[in-house]
Amino acid sequence: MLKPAHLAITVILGLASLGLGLWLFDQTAVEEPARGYPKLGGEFTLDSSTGPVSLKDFRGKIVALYFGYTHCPDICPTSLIAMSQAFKQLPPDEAGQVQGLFISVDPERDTLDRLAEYAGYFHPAILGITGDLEQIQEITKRYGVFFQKVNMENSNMNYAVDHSSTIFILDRNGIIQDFVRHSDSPDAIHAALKENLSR
Amino acid sequence: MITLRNLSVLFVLTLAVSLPALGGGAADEVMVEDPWAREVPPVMSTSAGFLTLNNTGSTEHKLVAARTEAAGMVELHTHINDNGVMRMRQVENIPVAPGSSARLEPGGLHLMLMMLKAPLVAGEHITITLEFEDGSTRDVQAEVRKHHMPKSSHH
Repeated sequence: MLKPAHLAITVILGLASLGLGLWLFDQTAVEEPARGYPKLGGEFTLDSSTGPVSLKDFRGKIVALYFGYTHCPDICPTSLIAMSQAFKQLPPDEAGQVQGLFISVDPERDTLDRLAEYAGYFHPAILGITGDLEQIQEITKRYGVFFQKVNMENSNMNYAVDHSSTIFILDRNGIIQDFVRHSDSPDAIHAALKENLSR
Repeated sequence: MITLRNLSVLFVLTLAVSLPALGGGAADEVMVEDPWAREVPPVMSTSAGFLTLNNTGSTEHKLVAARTEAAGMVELHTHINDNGVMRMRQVENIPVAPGSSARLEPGGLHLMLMMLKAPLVAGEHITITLEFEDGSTRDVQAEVRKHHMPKSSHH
């Protein structure tokens, strides 16, 4: 026969394990979808010189994504060189698991061929893509990227494009995990790539 | 590792490539350090030039213009980092206070080299003529580089 003391212990242990189970369940339920920024960014399909390119084409790879334009003389080359250096610092087995994407916010001047040549110059794993202005506006809005054409008075430049200079690091499922602020150093990009490659 | 000796050699070399001023005046008092231009993909017709201006005089000087055979036009530009948004703007001149320096470097002030006549290739040098507020000029030999090599990060 079960003594009251035994019963009490059994009930307590039972409740404790139920509590632990619920707590563990809660932890996984809360933490899994919360990693990264699943509500920002998201899917897109744009054009490249070799045909349409979708973000989902790179499932299983870590994607470094940057928005810019090819007439940008300093900021974009600085960012893309940093990205390229970060790629080159990876060991061969990891280098094949990263993809760079350069989305032009200046489709008016950036033809697909021009973009391909531009992006490929920095690193063969960086792809230059763009679309029509409405598509670019819709995508940049989702990624929280600002861009604005600015007429350069008294300048021969015609116009420049003000734009956010951030490199987005997306995990193997295309979810934003890191925002790397403008820098001429590859260190932060490299660290973010490594972090995501290890998952 | 960079030693003090290397640094001083570098400094002397840098001064050596800053050819003597043609017009005297401001150009005599503004020393130019580490001039370089960025190699860009051949598809690009614009690039940027960078350098540091050191004003050794006792009055303010201003860089008002620049030109080079390598580009059809050179403009003075800056970048304003507005909370992560990079806004490039043309500036009329770049002032250098006496005893002080002005750094033209990636992400900030730069010489915008427009209408490049040929692709800039790393290792080559281009001559850039700097013009100051009194019309005096100084020629510098800017090395074409793939990217910035800050002295502090040399290993």
